[in-house]
Amino acid sequence: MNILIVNSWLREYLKTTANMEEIKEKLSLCGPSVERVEEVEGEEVLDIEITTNRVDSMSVRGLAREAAVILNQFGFKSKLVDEASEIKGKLKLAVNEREKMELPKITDGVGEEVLRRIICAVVEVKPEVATSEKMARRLRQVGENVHTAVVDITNYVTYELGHPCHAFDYDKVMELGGEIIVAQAEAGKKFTTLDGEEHLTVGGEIVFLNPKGEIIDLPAIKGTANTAVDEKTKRVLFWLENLSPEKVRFGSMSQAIRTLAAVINEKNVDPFLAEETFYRGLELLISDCEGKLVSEIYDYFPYGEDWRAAEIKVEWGLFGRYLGIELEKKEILKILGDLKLECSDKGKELLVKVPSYRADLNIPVDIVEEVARIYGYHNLPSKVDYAVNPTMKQPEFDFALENAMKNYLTGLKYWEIYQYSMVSEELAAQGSLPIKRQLKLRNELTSDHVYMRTSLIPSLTEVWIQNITKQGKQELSIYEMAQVYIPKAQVDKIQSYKLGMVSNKPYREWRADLEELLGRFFIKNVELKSLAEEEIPEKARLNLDGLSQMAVITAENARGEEKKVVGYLYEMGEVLAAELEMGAIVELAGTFPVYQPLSPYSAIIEDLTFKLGKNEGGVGRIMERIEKLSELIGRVELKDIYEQNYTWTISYLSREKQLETAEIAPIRKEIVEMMERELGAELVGKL
Amino acid sequence: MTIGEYQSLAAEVLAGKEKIAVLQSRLREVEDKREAGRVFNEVKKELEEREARKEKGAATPINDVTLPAAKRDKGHKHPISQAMEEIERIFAQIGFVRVRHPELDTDYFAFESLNMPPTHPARDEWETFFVDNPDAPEQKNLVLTPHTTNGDVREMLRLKSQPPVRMINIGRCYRRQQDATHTQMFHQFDGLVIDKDINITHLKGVLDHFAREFYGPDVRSRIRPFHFQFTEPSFEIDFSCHLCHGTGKIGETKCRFCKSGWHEVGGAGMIHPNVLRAGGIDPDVYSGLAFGWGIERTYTLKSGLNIDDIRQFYTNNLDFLGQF
Repeated sequence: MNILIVNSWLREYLKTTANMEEIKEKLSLCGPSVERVEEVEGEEVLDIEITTNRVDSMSVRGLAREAAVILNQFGFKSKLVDEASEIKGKLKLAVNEREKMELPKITDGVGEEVLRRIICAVVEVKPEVATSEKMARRLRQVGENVHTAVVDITNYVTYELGHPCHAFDYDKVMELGGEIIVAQAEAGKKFTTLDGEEHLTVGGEIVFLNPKGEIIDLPAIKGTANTAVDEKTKRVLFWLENLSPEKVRFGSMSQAIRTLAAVINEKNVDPFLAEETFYRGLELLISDCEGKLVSEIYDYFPYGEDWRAAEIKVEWGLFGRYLGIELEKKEILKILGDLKLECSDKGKELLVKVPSYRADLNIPVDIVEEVARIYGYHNLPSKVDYAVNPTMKQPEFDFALENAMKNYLTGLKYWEIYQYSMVSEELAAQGSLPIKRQLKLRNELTSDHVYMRTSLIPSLTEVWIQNITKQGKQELSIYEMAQVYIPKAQVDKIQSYKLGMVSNKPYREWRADLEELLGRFFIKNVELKSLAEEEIPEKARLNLDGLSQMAVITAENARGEEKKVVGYLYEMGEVLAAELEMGAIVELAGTFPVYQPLSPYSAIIEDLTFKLGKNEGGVGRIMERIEKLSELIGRVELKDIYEQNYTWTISYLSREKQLETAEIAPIRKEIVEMMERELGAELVGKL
Repeated sequence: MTIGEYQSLAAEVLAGKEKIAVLQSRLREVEDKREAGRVFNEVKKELEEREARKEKGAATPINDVTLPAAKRDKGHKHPISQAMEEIERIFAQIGFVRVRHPELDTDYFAFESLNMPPTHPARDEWETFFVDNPDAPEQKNLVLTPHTTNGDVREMLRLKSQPPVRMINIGRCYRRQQDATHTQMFHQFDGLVIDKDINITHLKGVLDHFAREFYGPDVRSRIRPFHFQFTEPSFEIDFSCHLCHGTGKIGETKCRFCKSGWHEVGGAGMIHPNVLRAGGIDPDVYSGLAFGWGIERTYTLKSGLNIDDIRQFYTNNLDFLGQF
């Protein structure tokens, strides 16, 4: 949360020799981060980020207190001027006993765990009085609207000291029954906030009720219209309550009312601060609104002085353990003392008494942090001197392989794409499961990112289509490596890592890409088999537009011991899309092949062309059958296709002797006979 | 004519001393017609290829060196992948092992185990996407992780709560936000070191190492106080500006690249004892450091890169990607 701090206002609480630039720099190094200094109405205003745990710094005085300690550490003589705590004794009742106004009856219906403090009094004010020019300017400088003098005072003291407060119209409260009952709201109760917005309780919010059960305030968050002060208000019930932060947050979040009061109150603001803020507000109501205190001061504080007298024991050794250097005890005690942390040295331990406003300090290391940041992180050395004991890697991922694959795909003219993991309903429908069975965002931001994609292909194809036309390219190949999400009850099993590829390369070229890509990791015997829809597992069955064929891709590891499905191919007209399982690839991949001894003899290589009659089972199967005909057939490669004519390059090799041309004649004959007999294929040319 | 003589004739043709037509006409004189046919085809193919190369301008004198390069298709690796690989390499030098933890995770690992109970206001800072799981409708705690810190406790558990832990978790994160500096999906990396006697000086050492390697030898890191629920103490990390070297000024004028001398890049801290406990590690014996920040921002701070809208990384415009 950010707070704007006006220079002159800050300097009412902070006497220092440092200028604004120096305050900005030093504060950022050791405390709250000053994001910028801006000039507003002729004065410097600091924009400061206060971390959520330091609600005590969320005010002019709170920041001055922090700044005084830090600036002193850098050698700027600085001091907190704290007069707010001294007002209490100076204020007197302005009327005699008989004229005294009666306070409304206050009933605690929630208990001390929730209602930590209420402090209030009635002040008679002059309704026509306007806000002082100084106060109005400061409120504008911090971005607050200027309202009536009474409302402005409540905002002003909230900014100055840090505890939100409220002004009721006393007469309205009395007309509504003269009682304020602190209660948990039932569900479905209507109320209207002071700016005219209508709300309905969800149940469980802390509310103030009148005897009829009507809501007359949403405490610690926002006032309601029925008890709010207006320009006619003559008697103000000036009021501060301190509620449990969880309850404030619940009310604020469930009603979506995020006022400054709510943001502060939900962060565990100090109940002691309520008293100081109350008296400062009272002082201003009296001085600026020609006001008179006309009631007793009501102060309900069930915990009283017992509230958070926290003590933390810190082993002296803990400072060195975190800082990596040894500080002298004297130095540690000086820093903690400056921070108003009462310390006593108990030998091995240090006993630290924490002031009530530092609710962020709870465990020993919190104290270490205080010392470290004021000492200055910039004063600690920088080193990497621990022993390097690398931990074991995750077996399911291989980042070196992923990087190498990406580099290799780049060489094969593929473009890498990064897309959102969430897709539109339209793309989700092209995924692998019915849309109702897909994971869906409950609070999507835009309609194009709603479902967790079950496949990379639909969105990748969309990118391909968008780019091929725009770029005026004849050929385009793209890929993405990312997770897909298939619902499972067990969360860890939902994601699987895939490589999606979309290309319009001709099939044989595309297949060469695939085989080279896998072959680089010594994955071999890549096979594709066309499948009927029902043969494809549900998670791989995509509903792509224009899908004409699906095929399963299998491959083996280098030793040929393991064969796995590595992915699926989807044909959509001229577009070929494949989704590969990175998990299977990682399992099959190796970093070396099984070495084949080199033959000292040279191969005899020849081309044979056949005119194929029928092509049962595909050319791949035919080649397998040729290979199996003889031990001496080394490799069979498809060289060329022309209409129905297929030319194969066949190499013959023996590991025992140099083959003569005559020796391969019978094998050649066998090939031709097999082709004729079983496939009706006719040799082009003569033996 | 023997096959050997025919081969010699073929060599002459290839050397340009004889015409291909001669080789063709004498084919019928060779006894081993099959072999001679093969030789002839090879020579013919070779000459055709030479002709094709010649058409492309090969083996001719370069008369004009200003001729542009031939147009050729290329592939491209996404800049985020390039940045990730570099980050992985830099941390590997000092013993960090890269891991990948789930993007879709439970609220427990994304928040609760990180010392953020369900109603904690600190959760507001992560604009979190929640996910419905049709296979387990009762599961109301699924989120798209808003930070790679969800891997911290997971990593401790993966290593069976046995330090040392030296992790660099690089992955996708998601937040409900969208403007020039925020995208719904982005990338982060989280580093984690747990061992005996790990302290703040080590964190500074790791950050300085990264700053030097990623941005250049003159760049330094600095840590400033901050608050995270999962670290204590917590820091914000700044890297010094490579242009003004942390001074905020170039000569007498304000540095336009950084404004203050430093770039704020991420968060860090010493792991909170409760987080170590959630990972089954005794905070009285071990301590740890953790840091993490966004890859897009880290990458776009590189000197001279000049990308000012990170949404471009995810528009998949080839004109953009083709520059990397």
